[in-house]
Amino acid sequence: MSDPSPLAKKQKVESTSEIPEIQGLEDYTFRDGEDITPAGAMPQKKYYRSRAHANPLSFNDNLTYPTKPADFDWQPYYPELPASKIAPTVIDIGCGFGGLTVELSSLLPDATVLGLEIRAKVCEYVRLRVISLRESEKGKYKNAACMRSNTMKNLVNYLNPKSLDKIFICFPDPHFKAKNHRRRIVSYDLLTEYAYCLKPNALLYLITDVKALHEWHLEKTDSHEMFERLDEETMESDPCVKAMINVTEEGKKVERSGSNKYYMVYRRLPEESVTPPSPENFLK
Amino acid sequence: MKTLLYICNPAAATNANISSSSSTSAVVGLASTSFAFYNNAVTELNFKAQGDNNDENPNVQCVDAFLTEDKLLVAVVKFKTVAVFTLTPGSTSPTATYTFTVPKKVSCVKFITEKDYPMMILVGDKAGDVTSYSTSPPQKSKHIVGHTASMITCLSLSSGPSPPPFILSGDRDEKIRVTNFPNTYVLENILLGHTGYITSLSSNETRCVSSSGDSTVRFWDYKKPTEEALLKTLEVEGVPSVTAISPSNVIAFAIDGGKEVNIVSPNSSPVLKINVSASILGLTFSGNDELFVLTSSPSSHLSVFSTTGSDLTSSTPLAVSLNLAAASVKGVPSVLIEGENANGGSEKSDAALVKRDKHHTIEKRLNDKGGKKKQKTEEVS
Repeated sequence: MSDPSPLAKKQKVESTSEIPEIQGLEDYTFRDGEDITPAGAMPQKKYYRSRAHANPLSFNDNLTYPTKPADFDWQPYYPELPASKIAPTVIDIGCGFGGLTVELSSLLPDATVLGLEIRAKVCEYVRLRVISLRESEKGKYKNAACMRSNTMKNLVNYLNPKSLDKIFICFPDPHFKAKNHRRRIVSYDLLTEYAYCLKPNALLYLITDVKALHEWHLEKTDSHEMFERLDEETMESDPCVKAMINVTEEGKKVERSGSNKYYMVYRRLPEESVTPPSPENFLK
Repeated sequence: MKTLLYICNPAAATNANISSSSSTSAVVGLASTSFAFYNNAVTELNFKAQGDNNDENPNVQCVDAFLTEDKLLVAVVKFKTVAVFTLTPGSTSPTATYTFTVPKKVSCVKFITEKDYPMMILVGDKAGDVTSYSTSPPQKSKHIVGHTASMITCLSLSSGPSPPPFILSGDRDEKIRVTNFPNTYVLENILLGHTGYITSLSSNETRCVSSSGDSTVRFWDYKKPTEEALLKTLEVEGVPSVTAISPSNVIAFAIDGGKEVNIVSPNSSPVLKINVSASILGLTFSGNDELFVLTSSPSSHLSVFSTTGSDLTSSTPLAVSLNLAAASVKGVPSVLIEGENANGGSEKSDAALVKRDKHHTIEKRLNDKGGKKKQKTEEVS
């Protein structure tokens, strides 16, 4: 019986900066036998460019999702956080290249930040970015991670009700054509789901550079009984609002082109404080 | 073509005891027409509707009924048209008919009424919206709940004396949403656990039972959060497509096209199977745990069996038998009532509910009406 080699005996080192691989990337990470992004290096955007639009209603992606939140283990995403803090409390829907996700991780050190993105390459970029940041700045960015998922369909499969403190929706796809309006990430029914996932008095942040989309956001969210606008003063004093305006890649692009940004923050009301419709006015 | 049914009985509606089985009512949708059995009389309820591809007479998609002391309200849906008929005892034709169209193809309907609220009908459509409409002119509506990007496959209401009801809606994406009524902007709960499209839902005051394409029947306490809501899972062979739950939490279910009623009582695990020798089309419980089973037999009969829930060891076929051939309805070939067609039709609708991977739209699959169905009938005969 030969001795097992010393290398084989060596304990497998648990990496504390890894994030699980995203679904559906299909070997994009290699080119000519080499990693496009060497392990631990900051990824370069030019290798992860992706079409701006993705149809969230399509069935082409075959993304798998857990049957219920209890079936999903968040520990691999936040290896250095204690088990009581691994469930996400702040989500960035459509995180893009991850600018806001990483900024929120330092701005809100007690929160667990999750970036959600439906495009595979862009999500991979954010994943590698967070891994690289975790390695280069030891001890920081433990509470940020990203995952590829279709928020429109699967949000409630991952998140427990009343578990979120903040939801950020920054510069979402405007889907200009009327026939595509149902793909917009802010709609009355999705707001009901966001209200389901948010804690009472938690906040929903919306920003866009398309005025028509901003008006749509206001119309839908104002008409939803569970949300109420935050007043100006509170909005301006919230550091997350400043981050949302300045720190996203899309936001910086908008500034370079000189367009305006429109934003609003909403509070999710507790159920008891909303008056139900009266029987006479129920149907319209 | 799917043979659809709703059985309603006064005990479920008014919480009183059934005194005689002649107070049972049933509504059946068959091909392009529907029949109501009320007060021992069979009435045909037919109406013109605009179908797909200018099809003048599309098939009935779903039915629902609501029984009160003095009348029976029946809703029959074809494609995008909903017709609400009012039947009163003693008249052979409906005393009132109200027809309206909805923007999307309908998959299920349910009457809903609450103290102080007008009588309304919930319509679940194939785009994933549940909307409530008024049951008499002028037409008014209210959007209740929307399952984004997933068609509604079944609706149920939590019934019982303690208001308010909850609206349960099941969809193609394995989720059952529990919506508060009348605060429909509150998503009370989402029941997660199924891994296939939901085929049917039935609920009572506190519990509900659901069946799904993943070949399970699950029993839930829908007011508890998801981790605690699932109380029991029953694995079955085949796809269960009809379920019912009694006020004392006895569950009955049947497999798609199956001939056995499976009855499970809340505290014991053995499943009692009752063979009714004909395809089961519908199940419902009355207020005092009597189970009504609607079956179709090859001899053009649709019969309703009754079983007392408390005595699960025996079943007595009851007096009611809807002999549709005797109702001398024109234009309904007897071959359509045969069990084989019911099977074939259900397979088709099942196939439509299965998720498609690439470049298939739901609309295309479900659009197979008219021509294809007629071919199928001829092959069988």
